[in-house]
Amino acid sequence: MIRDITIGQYYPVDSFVHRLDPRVKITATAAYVICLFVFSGIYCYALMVIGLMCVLKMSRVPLGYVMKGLRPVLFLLIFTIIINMLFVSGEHMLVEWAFIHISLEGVINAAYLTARLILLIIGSSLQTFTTTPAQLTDGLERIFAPLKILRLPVHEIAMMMSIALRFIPILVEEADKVMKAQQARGADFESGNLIERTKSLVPVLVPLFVGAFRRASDLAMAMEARCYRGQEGRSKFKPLKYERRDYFAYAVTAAGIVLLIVVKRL
Amino acid sequence: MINTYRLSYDYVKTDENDNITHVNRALDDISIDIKKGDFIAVLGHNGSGKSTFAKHLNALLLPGEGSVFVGGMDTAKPEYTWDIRKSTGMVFQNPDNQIIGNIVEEDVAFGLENLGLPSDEIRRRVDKSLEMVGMKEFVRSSPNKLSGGQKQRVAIAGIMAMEPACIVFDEPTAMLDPEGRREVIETARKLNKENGITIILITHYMEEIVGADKVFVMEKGRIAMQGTPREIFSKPKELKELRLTVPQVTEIGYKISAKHPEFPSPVLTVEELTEAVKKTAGRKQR
Amino acid sequence: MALLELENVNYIYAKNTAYEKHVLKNICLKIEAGEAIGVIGRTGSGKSTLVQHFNGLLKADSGKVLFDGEDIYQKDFNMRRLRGRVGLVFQYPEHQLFETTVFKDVCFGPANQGLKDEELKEAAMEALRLVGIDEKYYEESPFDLSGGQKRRVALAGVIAMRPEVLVLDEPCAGLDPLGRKEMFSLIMRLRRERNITMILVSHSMEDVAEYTQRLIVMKNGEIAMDSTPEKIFTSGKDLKSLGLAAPVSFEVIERLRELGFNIEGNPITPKEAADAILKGIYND
Repeated sequence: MIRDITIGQYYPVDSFVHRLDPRVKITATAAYVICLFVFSGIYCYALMVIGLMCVLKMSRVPLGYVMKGLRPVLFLLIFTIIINMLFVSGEHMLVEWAFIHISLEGVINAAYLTARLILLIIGSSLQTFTTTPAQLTDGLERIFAPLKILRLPVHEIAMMMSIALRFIPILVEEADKVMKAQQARGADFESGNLIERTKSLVPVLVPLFVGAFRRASDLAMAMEARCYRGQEGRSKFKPLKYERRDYFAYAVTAAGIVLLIVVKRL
Repeated sequence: MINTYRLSYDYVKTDENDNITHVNRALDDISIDIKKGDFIAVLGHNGSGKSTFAKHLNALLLPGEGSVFVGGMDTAKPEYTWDIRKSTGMVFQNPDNQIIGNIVEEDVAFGLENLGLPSDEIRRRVDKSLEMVGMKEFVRSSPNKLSGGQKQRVAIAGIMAMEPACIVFDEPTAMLDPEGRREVIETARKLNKENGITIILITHYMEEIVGADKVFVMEKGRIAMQGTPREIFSKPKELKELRLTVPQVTEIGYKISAKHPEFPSPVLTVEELTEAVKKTAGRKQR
Repeated sequence: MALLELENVNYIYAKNTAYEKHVLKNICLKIEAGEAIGVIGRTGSGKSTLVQHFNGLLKADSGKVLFDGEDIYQKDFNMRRLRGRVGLVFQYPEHQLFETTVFKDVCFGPANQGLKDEELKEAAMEALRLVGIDEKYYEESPFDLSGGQKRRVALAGVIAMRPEVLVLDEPCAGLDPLGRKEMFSLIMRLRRERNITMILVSHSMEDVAEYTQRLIVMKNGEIAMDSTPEKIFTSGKDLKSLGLAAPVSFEVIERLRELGFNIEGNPITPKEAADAILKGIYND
C-alpha cells in the first residue's frame, strides 16, 4: 500500500528540468501554485495546462507515471465533485429530482475545483519527480537562509529533512516487518471497530519507536564520529550555482505570469 | 599511535531523583599500546566491554578514570576532539544507521564537508576513496539499493576520505552475510597493507582475527588475554571460559593432535592444517 | 500426505510499480512432519520471502499452499489458526518486543489465539521455561534484559502458541560463539521434546548443515538444490556461484583428497572431519 504512492518520489532520468537549480524549481512551483489560485477562467487554465504539459514533456517523466500519482487522491477528487454538484445552488437547474438538485453553476464550480486540484498535484509532484531530496533540502536551505537573522535554525531543519528522507524507506520496511512479526503471533489489524484497531497498533508502534530511537542514537554517534558539529565551518560538496539555463527558466516563469495577467485582463 | 593508561569507565543508572541505583563497570584498568600500522583485533563475547572500549578511541566516550592518548593527544581535552576524530575514524555495526547521505557520493562527502574542504578537493577525495574500497561504480547510487557489505564499504570510504591514520571497526560484520563479511574484512586488510592504516577490529568471529598482528581478549571490562592469534588460539580452554571458541580448522587440528602429539597445534588456516597432515602422516600413507 | 506443500508458487514484489521484482519463481516443495530443514542462500535469494508463505503472511501471486492438505487461500480458511500452528520467528525477533513485562509479552501470541486465565498463564510459563528464562525476570521490562535474553523471550513468545512447525529466520544473527551454540542446542532440544518440525533459514552453511538433514538452496527466487547436506557438498556444483561456502571441514577433506590422501565419508562437523582424518590417514 504505502509503496504505491508515487507522489514525492524522485524519477531518475536526465533532462533539462532535472538539471535546473533546485531554487529555480522551488520558486517556479510556488509561483505556479499561487497562479492557480489567483487566476481563474478558462483561458488562464488553458494557458497553465499548456505550460505544464511543456514542462512535463521536457522533464521526460512519462505522463502515465504522473497520472498514477493521482490515484491515491481519486477519492478526494470524486468527493469534491459530488459535494459541489449537490450543494452549490444556482439559477440554472439541470436536474431536479427528489432531494437531488444539480445546477449549472454547481457543475462549473466542480469542474474548476477538480481542474485546480489535478493541476496542483501534477505541478507539485513534477517538482519532486525532477529534484532529488538532497537538492530539494539544499535549495530550501538556501532560499530560507535569510531567516537565520531571525535565529531560525535553517541549516538544522534542512539537515533533519534530509535525514528524514533517507530513513523513510528504512522505517517503512521496518514497520512492514514488525507488523508481519506480530501477525505471525496472531495479531489482527484488519477487523474490529476503530478503538480495537487503534489498540491493535500498539504492538507495532512500540517496537517501531524503540527502533527509531536506537537508529537515531546510532546515527548521532556516527555523525559526531565524522566531525559533524553543526553548520559552523562546514563547506558544501556541491554548492548551488546558477547557470545560464536557470536564468532562462526564471525568465520563462516571469513571462508566464505576465502572460496570465494579460489574458486575465482580456 | 594509541595508548591507554589505566582506563576505566562506568555506566551509571540513576532513578528519577538522580540517585545512583546501579553502577556497571564497563572498562576496568585497561593499559595498552597500539603502534602505527598495526592490525589489532579485540575479541570478547557480547557485553564484555569491547564496544565501550572502541568508543574511547575517538573521544565518543571520555575516560572515567585513567587516560587515552591518540597520536599524542589526550582525548579528555576538548580542544583535541576534532583532530582526534579526524585521525581515527570509526565503522559501526549497523550499516544503515551510519549512512547519512541520500546518494553514495554525498555520504562519502559528509565528513569532508564537516572539515570545511573546498568543493573540488572533496570531489577528488570522494572518487579516490570510493575507488579504494571498490565502490566506484556505485558513486551515484542510493544507499538503500546496496547490500550490507557494500554499505559498510561506503562507510569505510567516508572515513578514508578524511585521510585518517587509524580506523576502528566496531563489529562491522555482525549483521552481514558471509559474502559481506569477506568484503569488509578484505577491505580492512587491504587498507592496512597498502595504505599503512592502523586497524583496530572489534569482533567475535574467530576466523576474522587470524591475520591480526596482535589480539586482545576482553572479559568484564578487563583485558583477559593478549598475544598473537597463534598464542591466543593455543589456549582453547581459556577461550571457552571467556565464551569464545577457536576457528573450526583449529578445532580439527586439536582433535588430531590429541591423539598424535607430533601434530603441530594450533593450526590457523586450511593450508597450515594440510601442511601439518602432510608432515606428520606423510610416511604412514600414500 | 505432506504437512506443508507448495505448488508452483510465484510471488512478485511491488507488482505494477517501478520496483517490481519476481522474488519467487515456480516453487514446488513438500515438507513432512518432523523434518529438520535448512533453507540457505545469499541475501536477496528469496529465502525469507519463501518462509513467509508458510503461514500465509505473504500471499502468492499464483500457485497453491496446502497445510495439512487444506488450501490456505480458500475463502473460509482460518489464517489465525494456521499462524498458531506454523510459528515464524523473524530475524532479530527481540525487535518485536513491546509489552511492559516479559510475561505479558509472551502472553501476546496465545492470548490472540483465544487462551484465557490459567491456560494462558500456563502456556506462557511453559514457553519461558523451555527457553530457559528464570522466573525472577517475568515481571521485568523486556527492554532491560541482555541481548541474548531478549532473543529468548521473543522466541518464547512464538513457542507459547505451541506451533507444530517452527520457522526460524537467522536465529543466531549477532550472537557470540557460545551464544550461537546455546541457541542451537535450545532449538534442537525443542525439536526433541516437542517433536516440532524445524525450518532454519540461514546464510551460514556451517550452522545449518550440522543441525538439519535436508537443505534447500535458494538462488534468484528458485530452488537451486534440495537434498541432504552431504549430497549438496559433493554434487560438484559450484557452491560459490550460489553464494555459499562449504563448511571448513568439508574444504579440509577436499584439499587432503587432492593431495592424494584417502578419506572416506563426507564429514560436516569439525568432529566428524577429525575422526575421518584420524581414521583415513593415521589409521586410528
